[in-house]
This record gives sequence, structure tokens and C-alpha cells, in this order.
Amino acid sequence: MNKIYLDNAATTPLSSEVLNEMMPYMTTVYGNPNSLHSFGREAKAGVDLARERIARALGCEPSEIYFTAGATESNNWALNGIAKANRHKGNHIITSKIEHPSILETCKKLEREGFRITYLDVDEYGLVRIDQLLHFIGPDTILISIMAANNEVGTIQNIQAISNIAKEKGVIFHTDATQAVGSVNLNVREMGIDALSLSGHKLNGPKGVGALYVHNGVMITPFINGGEQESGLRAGTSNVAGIVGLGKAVEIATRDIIANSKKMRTLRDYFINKVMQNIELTQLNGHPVQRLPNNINLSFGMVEGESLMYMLDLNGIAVSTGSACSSGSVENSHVLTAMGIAPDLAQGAVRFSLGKNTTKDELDHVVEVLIDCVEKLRKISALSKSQVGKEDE
Amino acid sequence: MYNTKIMEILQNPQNAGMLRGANAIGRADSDICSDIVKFYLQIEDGRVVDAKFKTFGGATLIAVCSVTTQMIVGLTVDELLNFNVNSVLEVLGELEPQKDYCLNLASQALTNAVDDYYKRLEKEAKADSE
Repeated sequence: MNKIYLDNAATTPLSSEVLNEMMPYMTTVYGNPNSLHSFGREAKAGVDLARERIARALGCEPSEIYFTAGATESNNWALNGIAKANRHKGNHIITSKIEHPSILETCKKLEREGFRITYLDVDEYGLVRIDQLLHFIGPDTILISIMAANNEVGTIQNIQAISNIAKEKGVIFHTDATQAVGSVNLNVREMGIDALSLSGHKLNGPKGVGALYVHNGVMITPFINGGEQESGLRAGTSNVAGIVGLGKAVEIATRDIIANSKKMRTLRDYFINKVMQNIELTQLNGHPVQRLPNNINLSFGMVEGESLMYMLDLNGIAVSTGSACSSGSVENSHVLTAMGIAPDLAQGAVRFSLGKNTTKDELDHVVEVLIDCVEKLRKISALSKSQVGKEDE
Repeated sequence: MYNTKIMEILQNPQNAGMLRGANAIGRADSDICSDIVKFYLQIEDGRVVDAKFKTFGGATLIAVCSVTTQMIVGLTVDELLNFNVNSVLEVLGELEPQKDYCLNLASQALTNAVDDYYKRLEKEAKADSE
């Protein structure tokens, strides 16, 4: 069997539809969109169309969409920019313990600069504790940033409830929707979301391009100075082909959201059930239902995640362990730790993230290989069945 | 850094599993993660005649344990005490810097196995003298 890619939460292959849309902008349409002549105007038309497509998908105005180099940049900019432009109103920011490092590290930087940050706990399923949000929100709170769906365990947050609380208290609400766009309906106007980050390469679009939606009227400082691009807030010659690809990818993801979600949800549940039936001591991490249609995060008792990931890789199956962005670290995932998962099971967690082209045959093959790999690793495991999940006791 | 030797061993680790009749058992637990190494040695007439391991850890730790058990069979207890686990690098090549802890963990488990051996000897000697 060919190689099987089940790491679509890390990145996705570029779709041919998106590539076709991008091709002219990598070849014949090479003008600078800021130039006034016909070459420039032609490139600008591509950027404008992409902005319109994303605005339509999110339910906002094109003037509220700013192109960036990806969701990490969008997250850095949203937190830094909104915090600093609203400091006169207060210095308190609320986020959660399971955010992406691009949020958490930016929060730490803001803490060093004098902001007060509250990191909300999550429950065993990875759902942000709304009771804590209500408890900690105060008159000096200027910003709430909670991810729409978690990249590791796929738990979808109660974004509407959080947004309602923010509105009621007059606090700006930002959400990192990198994993959620294309899987979760996010109409920013209807939901009252003030700022939202998204990325191209998670949606079968190109790498190195993303967007930040900022509601008109929300104050934000510029991210890069020195040009008129992106309303003067994010200077630098636009990545035209990337932006065009992003626009198309978002349009397709929104267009196909129902069909893709349904297909992936069916495959996801099929895989989870088959693994649970065939491999004892398997634990599903994250919410059983309120989770991304393509996310499967499992711990196999007595088995360490990295060795299992490499064994699957040797069998042509790509998955990830811990958080893909932090796998260089020997520390356990901050997400699984916040969910209260025992250290050995957290270190054993493996994420299988489906793509829109994943097939049932592929998943059947993965289960077969998985059964074999888990058995081999359990034979050499220093943990016994009775010790699983009790390492620290 | 992708280490092909480590991957080769991961597919077919040597001396993995428990050793019945082991008379020197050493365990070491990582203090930074959940990694565990257990060595089971059989020492006869002051020489290691068989060695096996069990582990909870990544590919590098499995490879370090596998090569260690291969290298220590045939050593005298004295030689075992002086055995430098870094010798496994001759087989494995360079490790990623963040995986250096695997060597320390294996080394600690080996030291604990020797301690266990002497404890058992002492216990036997006491039993004999009583």
C-alpha cells in the first residue's frame, strides 16, 4: 500500500483547484498590487477577490480582513496589537491553558510588559471552564482569546457562549480558528467575534499565508511598519499567489464544509471504534462528540507515543505525537497535562488527523499495522497493565 | 536529525523483554518525563552471561537499551562498573542533543542493577553464615 498521510492537522496537501487558481499569479500576473499600472491592477484584482472570498466565508466586510504570513503571525499580531491599542482601558487579558504556543508565548511576553494574564483551566475533555471565565472577567479585562478548536485533541470550544460573555462585559473577543475553519461554522458577525486568526495550509491551501479578521472599530496597532499594504497595518509587498490560494482554499473549505465534515466524522468514528474494539487499554483524548471531524487523539496504555509514531512511519504511516509543533520537547503536551491526563498516557498520545481524501481502506490498513506495532511495543514495555495511568502515584 | 541506525533497531530491538533467572535488576525513571529503563542481567561466576531490557520511552531510548545489552554481555562485574554507556554511540552515531538523557537513564539503570547484584550477594552471604 502507498504511504498514508494522517497528519492533516499539521499541514494539508495543496488542492489542485487551489493550485490552478494560484498558477497565473506565479507566472504571468507578476505585477505589484500596489502599482497603479495595468500589471499592478491585475495583481490587485486577485488580492481583492481573495479578500472578498474570505469575508464572505466569515460573514464580514472585506475591509476587515488583513493578510499575514500565517496563523502564528495572526495570533502574535492580534494579541500584541489589540492589547497595546486598548491599554488605556485596562491591562487584563484572559486566555486558556491549551492555546497554541503562538498565543501562550505572546501572552508571556505581554506579561513581562506589565499586562496581567489569566490562563483558564479546561475540563477532562479540553473544554474551557466557562465558570472560571465568569469569575475572572473584570472591569480591567480588555481581551479574551480562546481557540475555536484545539489542534491536539480537536475539542471544539463553546465559542458562542464565550463570545456572549465578552459582549455582555464589553470585552474584545479573539479566537484562533486555525483548525476550525472548514470544519466549524464561524460567522463572525452572527457570533459576535471581534478578531479571528486563520491559516492557508491547514485548508489544502498554500503555506506561509494566513489572515487576521479584525472587526471594524476594534483598535489594533500596526504589525509591520513601512508601507500602505493591508491598510498600513501590515506593510510589505503582498504574497499575491499565496493570498489568491488562501482565498480559494477558504472558499472551497466553506463550500464543502457539510459534505467533508460528514465524511470525515463517519471515518473518524469508524476508526475510533475499530481501534477500541481491537486494542485494549486504548483511551480517546478530547471530547467524544464536540470534536473536529478529522481529529483522533489516542493513548495506548503501556506504549510511548514517539516510538509508536516512528514505528508507524517505518510502515509508511504519518501521524504525530504530542503537539506537532512541540515534538522536539521532551516535556509532555501542555494540552494533555491541562486536561489532567496521567503523564504516561500523555506521553503515549498519538494524533491521527484525517484529510478530505482519506479513505476507509487506508484506515483499515492503519488499524492492522497499529495492532501489530502496539503489540510489539507492549512486549518490551517497562509498564505493566496495572500501572497504566498511575505512573505518578 | 533522523538517525537511520536507531530506526533499524526500533524495527528489531535485540534483547527486549524480561529475563527469567536474572540476578541483577536495575530500574531508572526519568525526572523530566515518564521514561523508564529496566535492565535484567544474569551474572554467573562474576561475569554477565545474559542481559535483557524493558523500557517506556522513545526510539532513541529503545536503541540505547538494545545496544547496551549487546555490549555488556561477557563483561566482568568490574568491567560492568566501569562500562561507559556512551560507548553505544559507536554503534548509534550522534544523538539529538535533547536525547542525551537516554544515555544517563541507561547508565543509572545499569548502576542500579550492579547495586542489586551486590545486595543479593550480601543477602546470600548473610544467609550462609547464619
